[in-house]
Amino acid sequence: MISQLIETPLCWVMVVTAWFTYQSIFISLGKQRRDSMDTQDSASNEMIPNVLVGALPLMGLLGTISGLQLSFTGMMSQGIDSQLVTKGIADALFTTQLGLVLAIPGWLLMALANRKRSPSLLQNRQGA
Amino acid sequence: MVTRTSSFLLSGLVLAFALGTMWLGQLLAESSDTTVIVRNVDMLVTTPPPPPPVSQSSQTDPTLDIQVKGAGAQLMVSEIVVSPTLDIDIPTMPEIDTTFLQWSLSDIDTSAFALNELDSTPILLTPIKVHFPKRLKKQGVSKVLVKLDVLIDEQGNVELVDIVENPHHELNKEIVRFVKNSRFTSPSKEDAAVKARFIWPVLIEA
Repeated sequence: MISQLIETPLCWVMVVTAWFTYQSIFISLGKQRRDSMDTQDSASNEMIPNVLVGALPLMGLLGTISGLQLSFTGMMSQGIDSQLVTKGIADALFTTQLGLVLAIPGWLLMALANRKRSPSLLQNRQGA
Repeated sequence: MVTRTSSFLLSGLVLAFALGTMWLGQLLAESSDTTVIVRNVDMLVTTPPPPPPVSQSSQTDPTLDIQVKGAGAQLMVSEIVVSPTLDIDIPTMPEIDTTFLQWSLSDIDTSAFALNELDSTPILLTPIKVHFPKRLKKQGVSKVLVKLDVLIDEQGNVELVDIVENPHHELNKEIVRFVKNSRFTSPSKEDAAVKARFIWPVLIEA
């Protein structure tokens, strides 16, 4: 698994994206705790991790497609039993799994942030 | 700044947790079926069961007594006399008269002369109009050389005997048509109109 993770560049991209997404969610969580932000600012802050968390499984799908493409190309050029075919299929399955595994904590953290934000928004409106 | 570093670390933790879960799952899946237990199985060879005892059953065939009264069937016998001598007429040999032989020759070869035997080569009087097939044009064919075996009679009428050479068979109908319509000067030998037979090369262009 680790060798697959290191060899495929798409996996690197996914890991880095996931890290960045988690970080931005945590930052927004911390800001909410301090309660020192505008509502408009929070909306724009929330959008980036939202999009990125949605993009993670899609990146996994992209890896699946490219892996299948690799395997079919290998089938075409080197026969069904070639190493290229098995490598392509392994990549295809692995990237999908990675995308979903990375997206699930992101979704959970997003849900947590949304739940914390809505009471604070209500308090802001009542204060105004 | 503190929140940034702490969120960075927290997110790294979450990432490591997610990847670790995945790794652990794969590790468990791989380790589940690595040990193969080979058990020694002792086979006990048992003696085959004795064959079932053969029961002696005596079977008496029922005797059938048929008594028929009467003299039985009668057989008619007739005497056929075959005479051993046969009278067959020996056929006489058919007499074929070999003195009168009539060779049926086609009149094409008898009186037709080749080109070099004529006084002058016959000249084509009618223009050749050939409708070039579109299919050949599409194939990029623009020139076709055909060689026709033609017979020209004393009046200069052309009769197509054979198409000697034609690379494209789509042209066959057109060749038959234009040959029927074309007319030559009457071939002559020693100032007498004769028939001529020769190979007529025609270059058909699109």
